[in-house]
Amino acid sequence: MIKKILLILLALLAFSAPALAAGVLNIDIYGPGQSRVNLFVAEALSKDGSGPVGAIPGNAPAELQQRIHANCAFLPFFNMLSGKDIVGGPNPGGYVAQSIDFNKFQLARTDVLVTAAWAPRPGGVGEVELRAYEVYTGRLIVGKGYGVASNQQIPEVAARFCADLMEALTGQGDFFRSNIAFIKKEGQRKQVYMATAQGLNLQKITNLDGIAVSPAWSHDGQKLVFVFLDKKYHNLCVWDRRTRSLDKKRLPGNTLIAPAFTKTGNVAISLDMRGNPDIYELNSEYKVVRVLEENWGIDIGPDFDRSGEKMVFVSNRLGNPHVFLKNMATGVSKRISLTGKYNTGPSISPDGTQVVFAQMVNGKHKLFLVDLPSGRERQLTFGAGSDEDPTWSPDGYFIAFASNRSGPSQIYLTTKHGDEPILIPTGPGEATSPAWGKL
Amino acid sequence: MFNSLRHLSWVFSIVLHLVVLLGGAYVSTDTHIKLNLNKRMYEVDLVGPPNKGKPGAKSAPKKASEGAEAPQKPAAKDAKTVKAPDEPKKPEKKAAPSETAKAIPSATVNATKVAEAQPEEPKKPEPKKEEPKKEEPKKEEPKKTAKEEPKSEPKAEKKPSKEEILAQALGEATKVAKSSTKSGADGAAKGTAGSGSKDALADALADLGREVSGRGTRGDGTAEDGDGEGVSSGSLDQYYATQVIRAIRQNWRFPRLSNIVLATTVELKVNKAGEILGARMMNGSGRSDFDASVMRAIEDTKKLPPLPETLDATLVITFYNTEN
Repeated sequence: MIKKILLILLALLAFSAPALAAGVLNIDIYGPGQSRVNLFVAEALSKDGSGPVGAIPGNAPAELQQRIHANCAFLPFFNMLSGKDIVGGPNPGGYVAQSIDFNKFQLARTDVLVTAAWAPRPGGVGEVELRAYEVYTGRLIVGKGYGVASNQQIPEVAARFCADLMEALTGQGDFFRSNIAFIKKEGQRKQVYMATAQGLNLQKITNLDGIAVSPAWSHDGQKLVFVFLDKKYHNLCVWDRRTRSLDKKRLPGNTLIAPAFTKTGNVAISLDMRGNPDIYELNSEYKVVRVLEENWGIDIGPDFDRSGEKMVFVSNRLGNPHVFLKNMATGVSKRISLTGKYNTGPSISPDGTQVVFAQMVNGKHKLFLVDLPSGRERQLTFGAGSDEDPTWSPDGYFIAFASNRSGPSQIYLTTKHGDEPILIPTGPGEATSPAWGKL
Repeated sequence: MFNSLRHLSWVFSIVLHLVVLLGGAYVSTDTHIKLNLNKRMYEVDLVGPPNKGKPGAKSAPKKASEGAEAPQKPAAKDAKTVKAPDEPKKPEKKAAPSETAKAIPSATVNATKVAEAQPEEPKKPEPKKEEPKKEEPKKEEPKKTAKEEPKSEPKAEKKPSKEEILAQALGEATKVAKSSTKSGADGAAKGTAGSGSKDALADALADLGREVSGRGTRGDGTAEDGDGEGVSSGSLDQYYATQVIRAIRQNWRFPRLSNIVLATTVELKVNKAGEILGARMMNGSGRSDFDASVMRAIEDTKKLPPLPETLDATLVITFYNTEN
């Protein structure tokens, strides 16, 4: 028995001795040095002969390649490589792992390689197989096949593939499955437009004789609510995506401010029917059914998380405009913008964990983000001009906002990490008040 | 019975003594140097002029940091201005509210149904090699050590070796203040460097702030980063760790993810010249792309700064995708 114990002790000693002798240095590295991975979209190949695509009508293969390149270039986690970056030529040698020469791509520091293989399709443009490979391991990240009936479908194919690639890499791909409504100035009028998050497929939604303001999507992305100021009154407007019809309603009070949809599809809006604007919920008949926030001060700009349990809004009840969070179950509201003296335009992330808003800094608005669990607040945007009206993407990763940083107000895109803002092209004319919704 | 009890008490006594002994040895030898490099590293102290400062003095927090705290000028003091919808047009005259709202789609219809996805994976992922382990050019390090031979002689607590490393690493031997002797003084040196030449400090801080991380967290003063005892090798190791982070991190590419925390631990074998001889994944993150990005960063780095005398040839590095 004792011998056993002694043996164990000896063994213990034997194990610990090397540990004592070795001067192992433990190091922690937090966060990669570069948050963009290098991506190369290879030229399309033919599925059968592994040569260039000749049998595909038009220039669909080249257009698809260009579309995928453009889509990915729009995202803040890709650094796009060109053919010149690949020593030894950009031709991958094949479109499946076995035949791809990964070495040269690795030498060129390519992280992700996209290949395309086309085959003709009777009565259509062709069939294309798109693959994305992790160059270092040769692992297939995404592989999809698409039947392309016409060249008009090329953008859709590119968007779908990029959504899948993005989802595989980041866990979220809704960027390519959503669109942004915004207000565009046309002379003295302001109309509602929408486009994809990359600024594609621009569409004019309204043609009103007046000013449209404060658009907001329903949680399912099927309805858009906004306030329309005609020559006499404020009106509540709800546009239906399916029917493309517009409902226009007068509401009690003189001023309607910043409507939003609740989880159940009702509209929440600030009305001044009792003096100061307070936030009310309307039913499907647009009748006030309950008070969501009432106070001696001004309460405006409601926005709800996906669960409908949290509402953010702006109130000046403490003197200056600040962002508040209301727990809809308990009815308790608390201030969450902790710094600054002028905080407006809050938008809560769909998962209800983060709130972005505009804070006045040195006379300009800048975006700030509050992490609700920790209460930590940090500035997201910097530089010239004012950044206002932030709105979360449905996946809770991107944030669109209006900014006059480079002249007239335009819509820009950043992320919850504060990545360098990217302009979303929306054509000539001032663009403001973005609202991000699902497709 | 009593006899066995007595034996038992002896055993306990031996165990107790051993634990104390081992524990003491473990603590006193700086074998497991666990560094929290999330804090900013300040090799500044090593660059600055020699010490004369008081131990433990903390250099004032540099304003160079993230300065997120905007100096907000109220600008609009009163809340009355809370955003209202664009100047509501005053009702002035009749103006029939034209039944507009005609939604004129100017462009295409959105092409939702078009290109229908075919069978998910056209071709199967082709079971590919998991991870090319080309990162093992050579196995042993003994080769290189020969080179370091001369240096290892005067090792005792010689400043020359320290300076050499610093000089190499910083690439500016001129700046290296005369070695700060050794041991406990080092801890003090850190503090004093802070109060030393402002320019050198500013430069070094700027450099570090830029490269070491500058990510989120603040570091106040350097002294606290050292072991309480101010072991000179500790600060040197820290400095070396900073250099390692700098070298590897710049080659590490991975997109920021939401709400996911990944960590991969890798053991590196390094020779005295700093060449990475091998990398072995000790703990994966569970995501092959993250692990691959880490291994690739190491492979692309190839060479680290020469290893300090005080360190063994093994580095254990944990990579986190988050910045804090």
